[in-house]
Amino acid sequence: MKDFPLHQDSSCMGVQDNLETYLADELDADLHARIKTHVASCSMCQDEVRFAQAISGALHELPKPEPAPAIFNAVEAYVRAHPNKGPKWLNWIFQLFTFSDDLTSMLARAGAVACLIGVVLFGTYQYQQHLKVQQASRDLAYALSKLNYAVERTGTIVNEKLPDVRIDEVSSRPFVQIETASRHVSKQKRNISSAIHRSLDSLDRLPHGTLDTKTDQRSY
Amino acid sequence: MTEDKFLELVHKHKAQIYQHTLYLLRNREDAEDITQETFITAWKHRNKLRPKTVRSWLLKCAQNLCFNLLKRDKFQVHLTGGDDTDPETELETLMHTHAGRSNPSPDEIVIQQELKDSVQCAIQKLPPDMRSVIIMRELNGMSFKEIAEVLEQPEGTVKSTAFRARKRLRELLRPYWRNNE
Repeated sequence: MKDFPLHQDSSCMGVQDNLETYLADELDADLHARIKTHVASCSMCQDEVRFAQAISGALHELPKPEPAPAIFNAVEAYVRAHPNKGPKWLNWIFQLFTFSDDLTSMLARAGAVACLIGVVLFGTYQYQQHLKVQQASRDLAYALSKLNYAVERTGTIVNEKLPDVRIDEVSSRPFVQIETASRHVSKQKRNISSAIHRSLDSLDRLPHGTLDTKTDQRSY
Repeated sequence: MTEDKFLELVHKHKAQIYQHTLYLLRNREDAEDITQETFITAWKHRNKLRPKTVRSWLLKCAQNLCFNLLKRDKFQVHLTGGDDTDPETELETLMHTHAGRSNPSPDEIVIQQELKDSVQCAIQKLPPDMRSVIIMRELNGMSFKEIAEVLEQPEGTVKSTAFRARKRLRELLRPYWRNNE
């Protein structure tokens, strides 16, 4: 500050200290107004403002020398000598999700995310269907075991094994394979078998999806 | 990142990095070396580069390399050299190559032109931290927020440094300004 003009009153010093902030319009309104008023009436501070503005103009016009092409050549040589490891497609995918921000990459990224969501949703749906089939199979087996128990309790002699009940994995519907009935099967056995058939038929006629995990086993 | 993509990036930013290092180091050869080293470091750490922050990353890397170089005693040899690599001589030469851009005009414009030469030299007399901020702000046209990201400092600190740097420039150039009045 030793070179500052002779009339070093507090206002001029205030302008000196805050001139850059003042010119950048970063001061609070009150101080800005006071400095503005002072500058308007002080020729020395007006000159200081012109000086600061001249420096700003000179700074904006600083030369911008271009680098020698050898720099680029040397960097290119190094990059070519140390390429990416691994297959190109893997690097491409990595770049797609890390560096690129152009429209094509963004669209590809959106497509990849959509595919991922689709795969997850489809897998979830398939898993739920699988659970439903498993539950229906357990429900049916439980119903038949209860029926078998009831037959035993009533003293009915059943020599033939109960129908082999399974769930069709494709259609998710129950079907029954009944062994060829013995020619010696008794009338009771036929009645029991037909009763099982009727119950299974009624189950088979149920709309798809009725046999799900919500089936209450106590209903049997 | 693929090799071609990275070389595009080098092509895009090489001038800015070079200018930044040149103004910081005041020596063309060192600036070229540091620019080259910056991009080679960037290639080694290419997995960390992101599109939005790549310029800040490169400038930060270049700046760290420059400051490391400035700290070395060996670098002082360049500052005292009197040959054609003398910083001020070289910068003045650079300045005069651009002098033809200004339009002929009255005395005030002549003073402005001469001031430009002096500003060029005065920048070199600033401390490295102030010089760095002034270069990024005035030469690269970066916002205070961007500079703060590069320097890893609060935006207010960067603004304060920039204003102090300008004030320091005024102090350095005041004798010249008064002589031309």
